[in-house]
Amino acid sequence: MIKFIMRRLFGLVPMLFGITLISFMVIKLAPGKPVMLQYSLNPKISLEEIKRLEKIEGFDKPLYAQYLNWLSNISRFNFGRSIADGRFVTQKIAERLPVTLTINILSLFLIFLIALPWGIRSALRQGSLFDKISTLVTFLLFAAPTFWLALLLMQLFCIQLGWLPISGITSLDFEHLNLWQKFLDLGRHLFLPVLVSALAGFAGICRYMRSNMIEALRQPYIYTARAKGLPENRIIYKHALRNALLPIITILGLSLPGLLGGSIIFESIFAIPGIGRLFYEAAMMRDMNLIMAEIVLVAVLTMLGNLIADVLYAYVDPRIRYKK
Amino acid sequence: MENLLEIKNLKVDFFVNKKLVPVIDGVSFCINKDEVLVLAGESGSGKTLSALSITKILPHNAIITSGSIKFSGSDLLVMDEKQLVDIRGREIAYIFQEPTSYLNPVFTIGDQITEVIMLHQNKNKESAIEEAKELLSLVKIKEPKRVLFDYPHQLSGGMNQRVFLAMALACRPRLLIADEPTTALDVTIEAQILQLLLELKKTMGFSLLFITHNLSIAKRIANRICIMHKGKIVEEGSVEKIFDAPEHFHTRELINAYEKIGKL
Repeated sequence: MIKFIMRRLFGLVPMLFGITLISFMVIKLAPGKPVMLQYSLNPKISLEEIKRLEKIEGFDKPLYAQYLNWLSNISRFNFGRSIADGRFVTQKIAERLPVTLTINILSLFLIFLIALPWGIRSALRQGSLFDKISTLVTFLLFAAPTFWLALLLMQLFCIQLGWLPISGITSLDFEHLNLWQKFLDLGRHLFLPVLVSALAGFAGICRYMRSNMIEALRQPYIYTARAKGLPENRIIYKHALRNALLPIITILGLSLPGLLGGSIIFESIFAIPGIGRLFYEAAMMRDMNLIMAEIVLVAVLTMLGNLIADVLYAYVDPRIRYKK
Repeated sequence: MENLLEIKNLKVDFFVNKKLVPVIDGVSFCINKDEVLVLAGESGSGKTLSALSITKILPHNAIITSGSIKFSGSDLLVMDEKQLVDIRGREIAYIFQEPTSYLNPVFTIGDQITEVIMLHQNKNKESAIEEAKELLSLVKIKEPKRVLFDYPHQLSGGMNQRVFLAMALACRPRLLIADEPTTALDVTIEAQILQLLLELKKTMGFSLLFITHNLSIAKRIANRICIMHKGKIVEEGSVEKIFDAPEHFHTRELINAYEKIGKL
C-alpha cells in the first residue's frame, strides 16, 4: 500500500507541471498587466518609467523564462510577494485560511450529519409522503443558486427579523468583548454562511445517499440476510448501509480542495475575508504571484484529495486492492 | 409419512403500476420428512417466488393473497415477523443461484457464517468461529482457517456455493431450500456440489426442496417432482411417473429439451 501511495505521489508531479504551465500561460496572455495599477491613474508617467517597473518584476523577459523562473522559485517554496501590497503571498494566504477552513469544515459536518440519515430514511420509505416532500425540497435546493439563497436568507434573518449581523465575521466592538462573547459573536456571524454552503451541498449528498441505499437494498445479499433470519434493522444498518456508504467515501476525499479553496460567490456576498475572496481580488488585480500560489494550492489539494479517496476506498472496500 | 411442509392453494400477486398481477395461482404441494422434492419448470413459472413465499422473504412488491403454508403443523403465513425471524435460518434455510452475489461483498466469509451461528445459537464469537471452521471442513473446503478471512470475491463460484451451504446448514435446519444452486456453476463443479448436497442430507437428515429447470438434475436427485408452469403446478409424481408417463404437455416439453441435449 505504501508503495502504491508513493508511486501515485510521484505520478502527481508531472500533472502539477501541466496544470501550472497552462494556468501560467493563460493568465499571462489575458489582457491587463499587473504594473498597470501603478501607472494607469498617473497621466505623467513616461514610457521609460513603465519599462523600469516591468523590469523590476521581471515582466520584460520572454514567457518561458518567466515561467521557469517562477518554477525554480516555488520549488524552493518561494511563492514571491503580492504585487498589490508587497507582502509575502504565503503569509496572505495563511491569514485567510482559518476562516475559510472553519466555515467549510462546519458546513461539511452539518451536511453529513443531516444528509446521511435523511437520505437513508428517504430510501427506506421510498414513495412515501416523506420521500416525495424531501425529493421536492432537495431538487429545489439543487436548482437554487447559492447567491440567491444567501440574499434571501440575509433579507429574512438580518433585515426583517434583525436576528443576525448582515456580513463580515466579527462585530466592530469585537476587541472589547470577553472570550464567551467573542465566541458568540463569531457564531452569529458564521451562522448564515455555514447554513448557505451546507444547504447547497446537502441536496446532492442526500440524493446520493438515498439512491445508494435503494440500490443496496435491491442486491441479492439482502435476500440472504433475510433468509438467515436477521431482524430488519440489522439487515438495513449492517448489510445494506455498509455497502451504501462506500461511494460516500469518495465524495469525502473529493471535497478536500473545496475545504481550503473556499467559495468566491458566498464569501463575496457575506463579506468574509476568506480564500475565495482573496483569489477573486487577486484575479481582478492581475496579482500574478498570488493567483499562481492559489492555483497551486487548489491543484495540489485536488490531486491529494483524489489520492486520499482512492486509498480510503481501497481500505473500506475489500474488492479493491492495489497491486503491490 | 409425515408432512414437514404443506403448502395449500398459495396465491401471490405482484404489484405492477398500481395493479395486482397474479404470478402464483393456487399452488399446493407438500414435502415429507427426509424427502427430496424437485420443483421444476421454465424461468418465470414462479418456482423461486414459491420458495421465497415459504418464509415470506418476497420482494416488496409481491403480496401473498391467499393460501396456507404449514411447517410441522403451524401456519407460517399467520405468524408475525418476530416468529418468522426465528424460523428463518434456524429451521428453514436457503441456498441461492449465484453464490457470489448472494454473499455480502464487504464482509468476510467468517463474519457471514458466524453471524447466523451467533444469532440463533447464543454462542460467543470464539466458539462461533470454531463452529464455522468445522462447518467449512464439513463442506469439504481445504484450509478452512484461511477461507474464514477471505472475502467472497476472492473465492470461485463453486467455493462460494460451498460456503453458502455451510452457512445454511449452520443451525442444522430441518428444511433446506435450494434455488437453482448449480445453475451458475460449470458442469464438473455442479456434479461435486450435488453430490455434497446429497451426502450432507444423508448425514444431517434435512428435507430438501430443490428448484431447477434442468430435468437431468431432477432425475438424479429427486424422490418426487412437481412441474410448474405459469404459476401453477401442472403435474406431480415420482421420477418414474414423470419420465415414463408424462401427462402435461409442458412436462413433455421439458423432457424433450433434456433429451435433445443428451443426443448432442
